[in-house]
Amino acid sequence: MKKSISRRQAIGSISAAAAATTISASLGARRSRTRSRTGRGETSLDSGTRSQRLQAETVVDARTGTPIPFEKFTQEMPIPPVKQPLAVGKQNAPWVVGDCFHGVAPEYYTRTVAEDPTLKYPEKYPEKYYEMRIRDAVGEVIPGVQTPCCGYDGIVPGPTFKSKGLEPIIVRTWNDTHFECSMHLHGGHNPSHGDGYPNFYILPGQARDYYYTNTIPYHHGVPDVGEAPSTMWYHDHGMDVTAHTCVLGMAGFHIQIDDFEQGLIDRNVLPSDPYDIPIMIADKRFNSDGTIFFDPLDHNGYLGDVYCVNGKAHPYFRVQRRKYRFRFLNASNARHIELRLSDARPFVGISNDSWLLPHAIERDSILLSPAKRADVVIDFSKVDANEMYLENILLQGDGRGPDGKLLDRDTQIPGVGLVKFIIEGDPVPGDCSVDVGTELREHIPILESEIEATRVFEFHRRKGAWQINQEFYDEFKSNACPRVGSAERWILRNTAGGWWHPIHIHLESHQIQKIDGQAPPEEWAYKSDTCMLGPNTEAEIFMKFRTFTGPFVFHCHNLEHEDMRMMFVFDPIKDGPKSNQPLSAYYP
Amino acid sequence: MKMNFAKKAGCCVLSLSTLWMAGCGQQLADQGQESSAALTELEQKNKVRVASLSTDEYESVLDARVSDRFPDIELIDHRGRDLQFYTDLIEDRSVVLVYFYTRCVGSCPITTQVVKKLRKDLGEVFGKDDLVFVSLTLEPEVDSPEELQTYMKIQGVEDDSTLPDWVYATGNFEELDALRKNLGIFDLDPIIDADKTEHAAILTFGNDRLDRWAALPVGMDYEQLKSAMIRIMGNNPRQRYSSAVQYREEAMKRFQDNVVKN
Repeated sequence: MKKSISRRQAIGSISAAAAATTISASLGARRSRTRSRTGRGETSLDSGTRSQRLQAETVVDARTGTPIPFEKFTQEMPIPPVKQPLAVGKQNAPWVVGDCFHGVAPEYYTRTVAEDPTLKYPEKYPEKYYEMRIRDAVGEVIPGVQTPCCGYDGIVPGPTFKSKGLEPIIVRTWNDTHFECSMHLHGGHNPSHGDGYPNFYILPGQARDYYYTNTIPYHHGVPDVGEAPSTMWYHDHGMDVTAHTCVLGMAGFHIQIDDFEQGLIDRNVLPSDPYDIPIMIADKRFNSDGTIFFDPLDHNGYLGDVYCVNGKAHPYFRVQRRKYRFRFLNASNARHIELRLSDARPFVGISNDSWLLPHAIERDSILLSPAKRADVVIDFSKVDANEMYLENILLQGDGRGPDGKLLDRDTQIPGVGLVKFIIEGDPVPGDCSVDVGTELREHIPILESEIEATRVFEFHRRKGAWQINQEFYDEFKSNACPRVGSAERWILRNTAGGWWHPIHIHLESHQIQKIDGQAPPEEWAYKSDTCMLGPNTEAEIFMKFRTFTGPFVFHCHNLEHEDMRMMFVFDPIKDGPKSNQPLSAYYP
Repeated sequence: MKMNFAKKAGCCVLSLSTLWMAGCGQQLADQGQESSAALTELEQKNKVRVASLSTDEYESVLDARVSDRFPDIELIDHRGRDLQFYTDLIEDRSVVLVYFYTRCVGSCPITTQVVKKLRKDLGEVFGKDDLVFVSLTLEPEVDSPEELQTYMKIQGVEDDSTLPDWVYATGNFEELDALRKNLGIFDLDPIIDADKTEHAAILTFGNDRLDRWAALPVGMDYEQLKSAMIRIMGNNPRQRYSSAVQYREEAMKRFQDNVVKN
């Protein structure tokens, strides 16, 4: 119903009159076909009309690119609304936690640390309750064109969750779509039941209580405050449909600010609301009827030619002459981006993925694979011009990945403008103090002496699909079982020819030690949750497995590759380290 | 059902399990009827998607269809019948597509064995008339209908009228090659793509009525392949989610058993 509307509107927006004629012809043809859909006998008429339609499809379909011309930088970039809780505190719980089809995590009742069940994991604030519905919606991504999407609370991006460190929250998520969804809080430290294990679905029409502990693991008996995340995001992780649902818009931000970071804000070191802006960048392709183009049979990786920033195609954003904190997220399926400002002004980098860096660093450009985040500070008070563009300068021809190598990429300046900053007013007095070198969050390195096991994972392509160590994802087998509470060395080796694979590991951060035998660039030298593997790249990482038992997954975050089972399971257990064990728990 | 789980080690896990159940507790009480009740509820919620596909209201959902991109090419099957790829094989049913060639000594024989099992197992779920298996040759210049017949005999594939149809088809090389690329079964590296011995060992499958399509590697776990195919191609929630609901019940029952035993 809604698509018919959008199609009509889209027809109006297409400049070529010829194109419009063929589209309406195709509409008429579809009607007649749909009516004769019941039997398989009456096909002779259908085949004729279908061929007419197919001719029309060459005009409508976005297989070779979005056929809708539009003027860039005419819409304002929206900031996703902040999700409001239904209630705070156990006595005010709006429903019985766990009383829904898919229940709640057992940890909700125990709150004990897996490596030491006599110990409770840290909590400080009363728990909060939220309710969210995943549903279809129509949005205006390209100016004047209605696009059917699918999003959390029916908006794209989904609402932003803002939580405090050590503040547990429960999100009852209803699935009002026809997809089998599974919501993953990317970059968080949470129990397996609600971690978005691909087969722990929310079936259509049902709900699951997602219990986000917002806690941090222990380090030698003391809470490891270095592990407190800041910029997380949530997105769909349902098996077989992740690529499709994420293209349709199932993604949103979850920003957590703990006491330490709040201190930085209070001392006017870091910008805070309304100068703390999450920016979600995702590339998409649109058919001429305004629908999002997606080909479920294209496994190489979805690439779009329209960049949607917080759900709008190439928007503008008004800023004052002061410092802003931007939380950049690449929410694309396969598109890698490298961000740069049009006047070549360097960014002040303050985080990688979920975690603040030990000190702010200067970054000329910011490379983000799918799922990677980076928080930066831009000081507009030093900009004389009234306009500046945020650009993507990275060249990428197909789903294999960007052109060039991980540390020697093909770029193009000027790049594609993503956001136009319109800078207004005089410099604001009393601005925040953050600058290159400012000390931020402490970092506790994992030591070589703590390593209990070394595992090698080889990512490669064979016969039209991608594998890890010659195997596909098996939802009932845990490929790696570290001892819970221990640290391990993982060698992530990409032998897939020219393919790039951003490897995302759930549960906790990992610390990149080496990339191809060399120390990694400084922005990746501390904590990450997604480790980029360029063509034939080998990364050595250290990682700890604390607080929760599994199962959890790690996988390529090129979502098409993940849907094709380029994914492995790890399950921290008491009597590890082991390999290839049955799962210790399962929460379908 | 392949569901191997370790015996629970330690009371910690056990108590966790108990509590998870407590969370889902109210549905546990009438466990016998839960399966059908849950599925009925799913079906109701999905009514518009399943029951009213041909109504004007949901016609628009069907407008941009994946299968629109499939060329309706002419094929000849192993029995010498002339077939139109889309009109005769895809339209209005569920289909499993495989690329193969009779001289293949690599993955094809293994794929054939997997598809043979699927033909029997999926046939029981979908019924024999609503599902068709199609093997398309990569070497139409070699694979004549007679070659295909011989190949089927060697592989033990029968024209069994009690099972879903399995069509081995050949045709024009250019057209078949274009169709292959349209179905996403190709390698971006032209050297690998031209090397038939490296051809994709993946099953492409979908339901044209519901416009749900996907592809999965043949080499993955068979039970999981089967349940994923049913979940994606199934005509209604009862077909699609019966295994997911069953897994959930088995998991809950297992936890319950563990609690009782200990």
